[in-house]
Order: sequence, then structure tokens, then C-alpha cells
Amino acid sequence: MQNPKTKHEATVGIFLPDPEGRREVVHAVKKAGYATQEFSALAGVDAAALHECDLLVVSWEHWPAVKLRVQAEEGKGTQAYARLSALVCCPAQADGPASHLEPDDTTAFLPEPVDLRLLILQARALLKRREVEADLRYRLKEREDVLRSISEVFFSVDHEFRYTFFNEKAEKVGGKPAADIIGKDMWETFPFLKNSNFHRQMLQAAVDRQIHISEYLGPITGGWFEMRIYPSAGGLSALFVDITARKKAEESLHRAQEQLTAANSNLERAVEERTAQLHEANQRLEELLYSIAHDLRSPLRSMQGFAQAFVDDFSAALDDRARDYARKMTSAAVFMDRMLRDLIELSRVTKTDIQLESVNVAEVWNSAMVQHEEKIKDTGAAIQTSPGLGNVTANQTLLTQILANLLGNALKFTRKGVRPEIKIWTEPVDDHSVAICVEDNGIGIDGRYQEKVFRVFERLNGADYEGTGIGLAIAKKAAERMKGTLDFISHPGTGTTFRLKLPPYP
Amino acid sequence: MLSQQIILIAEDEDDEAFLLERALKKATIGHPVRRVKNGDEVIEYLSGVGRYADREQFPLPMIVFLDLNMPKKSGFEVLEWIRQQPAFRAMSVDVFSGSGRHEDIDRALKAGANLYLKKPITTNELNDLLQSYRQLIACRGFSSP
Repeated sequence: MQNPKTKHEATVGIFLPDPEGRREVVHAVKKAGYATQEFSALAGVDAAALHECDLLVVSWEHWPAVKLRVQAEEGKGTQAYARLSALVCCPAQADGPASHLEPDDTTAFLPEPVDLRLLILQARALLKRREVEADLRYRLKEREDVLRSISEVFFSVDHEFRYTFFNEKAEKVGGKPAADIIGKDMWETFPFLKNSNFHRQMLQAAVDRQIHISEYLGPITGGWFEMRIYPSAGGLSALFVDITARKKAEESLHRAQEQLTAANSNLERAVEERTAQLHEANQRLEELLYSIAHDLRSPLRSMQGFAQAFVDDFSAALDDRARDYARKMTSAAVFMDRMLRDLIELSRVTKTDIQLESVNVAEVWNSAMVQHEEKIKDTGAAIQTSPGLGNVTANQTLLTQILANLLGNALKFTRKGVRPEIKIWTEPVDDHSVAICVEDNGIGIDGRYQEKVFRVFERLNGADYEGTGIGLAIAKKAAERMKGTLDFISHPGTGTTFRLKLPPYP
Repeated sequence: MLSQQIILIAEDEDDEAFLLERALKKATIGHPVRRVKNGDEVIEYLSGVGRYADREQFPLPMIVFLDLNMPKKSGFEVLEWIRQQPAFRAMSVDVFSGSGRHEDIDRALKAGANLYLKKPITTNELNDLLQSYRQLIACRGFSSP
């Protein structure tokens, strides 16, 4: 539908019998800026000409015939004639048309003789009204078209719940054409709606005149709908938005969340169980390690004891070689005993409950030096202790063990003919750790063995240097027990710096 | 109570018992020795029941040399039992164990052991240890036979 013509394009059709009067009217109308279409007689009125008119100026005598003609054209369904405006010029007698004809929105009566200024004013008013109404109709139509064609169910009812509007989607869902149900009672048309949630909401909205919004499972399609009921001057309108897809997505999301939660708690439980199992298995292994290491020492004592008894009791019968063999048995037993003791120590470091406290590094270093006093004297080692070693958060026993071990290694793995020089200092690493560094000028460790040196029974230097190969494993374990780490930087042939990182003491 | 000044060795391992007796002799601890093989036997011996009824042959010892890790009743249980017997309250019970665990040492001393000796690994160390031990029991007032 097109917007109506504006005032200045409007055409006024003139049906006036008096040529004089007509000329005056035509002149005035033209002067007012309208186009004119003159009709001298009813016979000369053709549909096309009438069609072009926006306003008719009709004499009282012509009016019934013109009106019939217009109505006949309207009856043909020709849009343009709808609500054609007319100015009817009537004689000003007492029995004139004003007494039995009321003016309406589209018709005004002009008393004769026609006052041209009044005619123009009336014409303007009618055309303006016509323009406004057409515009309004246009807008309403447009809105209705939108409502009619939207993909959601939309309908309106009056205050008695009779259908006043029923859109295409509603027709489709309801299975009835709008033409069949407009004006019909909603509850009779769709009896299953009675006593439904929708029914209750509609009744409620009719009373409280509020917008009602709710979600429900549709009885017809089985899908989910969001129902919105809007009160209006004429009654109520209802919009049904299909939210099945959203609902399904929500449901599957909800299910997925539930599954996830369940899976999570299962996982947590499983992790807890596994942790407990591992903890127990670990504990059993450590106990086993301890008891194996412990029990192995008893036959070892006997082996050594009998080797010695053998030498003591049969000394006369033995030559030097036999005595040397017996001596080797003893030293093998002694070495194995040291390994077993170290293993016991490792398991002890691993499982003993420890407490972390403020430990003075210098104090611990001193006691490590006391442990190795003899060796320091023997090797003539130069030990340089930096001032202000400070405190760390550690366990006194474990830290002593580590530093004694590092010092012991520094004194042991020396280069032939080189006087051992050992330095200890501390340096901050970051907010979470302080490094205690122990540097030597010994044989060094190839970086490739970074991991290997910390493993139980790994010995890099074989028979040249005595040792069980557990010392660094114990030291590393002890560092870990104190929430620290132990690593080293080394250049073979120039020395090694071990770095023990520990939490600083706040 | 007549004590024949014997030493009762409680040790389940025959070899260890043999080497210990040998080392005792070498350390000139010349007290006669009796040996039992587990905790139950210690208690039977001290109670003088069963095959230990003959006090002539199995006199009450002046020292019990007690291993901790033994079958049946452990050394700890034996210790506790001994200290519950009024007659044996004053008896010397010296633990001779392979364990160097602080827990074991503490527990044994708390249970009433007079001494805790850790079994050394070599004969030489054992000899040294028993030399000191000889001096110690001499200080306790036991005369050598």
C-alpha cells in the first residue's frame, strides 16, 4: 500500500450543476493549490476519473447518485474509493439535509450559497484528516502485516475473549484460518486451552492489566514456548515464542553440567583413593626398604665375624694370600654395611615427620665442618665462609645432613695435587627462595649427569673415590622434604657449585 | 637371691650368638653364659619353668643380654615383662640390637633397659665395644669370676 497523496497533489472532483457556481468553486480550489476534475453530469463520471479524486465537491442533488456510484466502486473492492471524502453543498433551508444527515469523518456539508473560503477550509480539514487516517491505516496495516507474518504465534482477543487478530503462524499451529475464527470465542474455538496455564494467565491479565510472561510446554506442538500476554485497550494480545531450541540447549547444558559435576566428584574420589593407595604403598615400600636394609646387616655381621674368626683361629695355617682374601671379605662386608646404613638413612629422611623452622645457616655449616674436622685437617682444605649467611626456613637435622654431605663430597672429589678450596655463601633467588651455594675446586661433574648423580647407588667415579652413591640421593630427598631443591653447576676439571634452594626465613 | 653371675644371652641367630660369646671371651668377660632363642624362652628361663626349672643348671643371670628383634615375644615385650616382676627389678638388662633407630633406642630405655648397645659390623669394633662394656659392668659392682 502506498502513502496517500499530499495535499498539494490532491485532486478535487467537482459535481456542481450551476456553471457559475462551479467556475467559482473550481477557481477557488485551484487557487488553493489543488488539481480539479470537473464533472458536468453524473453520466460523465467514469470510474477512472472518479478514481483520481481525493475529495468530491458535490451538490445536494447529485450527492445520492454520486454516493451510490462511489459505494458501487467500493463494493468492487477498489481500494482507492475507500473512505473517499466529500463536501456536500446543501440549500440552507430549515428542512435541508443538515436536519437528517449528520456530517461524519469523510463528509462535511456546506450551506448554499457556498462560501468559498469555508469550502477551502473544509476541504483542507477533510484532506488533512484523510491524509492522517491513510497514514495511520498504512502504519497499522504495516504493523499488522508484520504481526501477521512473524514466525511466532500472535493473536489478539477482545474483552470477551473473541478473536480480533490471528496471525499466519497461529493459523498454522492452530490449524484454522483466521477468517474462520475472527470474532469467535477463544475457549470455544480451542477447548483444550481451558484450564491450562495459558487460560489462567489470560484471565489474570484481563483483571490485573499487567504483562504476563511465562514458559510452558505447548499442548499442540510439544515444544517449549515463552508466552507473553499484553493487555491493550481492546483486550489482550498474546505472543508465543518458540524457545524449544533454547530450552533444549539449556537442558543439555544442565545435563552436561551435572555430568561434569558427577565426573569431577568421581575424579576427586578416584584421585583421593589413588593418593591414599599410593601413600600406603609408598609407606609399605619404605618400611620394606628399612626392614630389608636392617635385616641384611645381621648375616653381614656373621660373614664378617666368621671371616675374622677364620683368620684368628687358623692363622698358623694361612698364608698371606688367604689372609688377604679374608681381609677383602671384611672390607666388602664393611662397604655393604655402609650402603645398608645409607639406605636406612634415605628411608628415614623420606618418612620421618619433619618440622620447618628458622635455621641459622652458619651454625649448621659449623657443625658440618666439625663432622669433617679430620678430613679438613688431612687435606689442608681452605674453607671460606661468607659472612651473613643468614637464616632459612628448614629443618636443622636435614640441613646439617645436606651441608655435611656436600662438604664431604667437596673434600672427597678433589683433584690430585690440588689443595681443596671450598666456599659457602647464600644469595637470594626470588621471593620464594634463597640459595645456599657450596663451591669446590674438585674434579667437577659433567652436566650430563645432572640427574644421575642424585640417584641411589649411582657412582660416577667408581673405585677411585670411596662412597656408596647414596649421599646425594639423601641430600636431594632431604632438600625436597624441606620444600627446597638441590642442583649444581659444574665444569669438569675446575669444580662444582651445589645450589640448595630453600624458602627464606621471613 | 643367689645370683651366679651368669650372662643370659637372648639372641635368635645362632651365628650371632656364637660370635658374641666368642667376643665376650676375647674381651675377658669370663662370666658363664646361657643362651635362649626368643622372647618366650627368656621369660620361661627367668620364671624357672619347663626345661629351665633346674636352677643349678639354669641359674638366674646377673645380666640379660637382650636382642630386640626376636621371634615370638620381642625384646621390648620381654623388657616390659621383666620390669613388671618385682624380683627382677634390679636385674641388669642390656639391649644388644642391630637397630640404630632413635625410636627403638628411646623405647628400649623407657621400657627399663640399663644400656643400649648397637651391634657393630666388624669383629674389631665389637671387641672394642665389649672392652668398654667389661669396664662398665665392673663399675656396676659385679666381680669377675
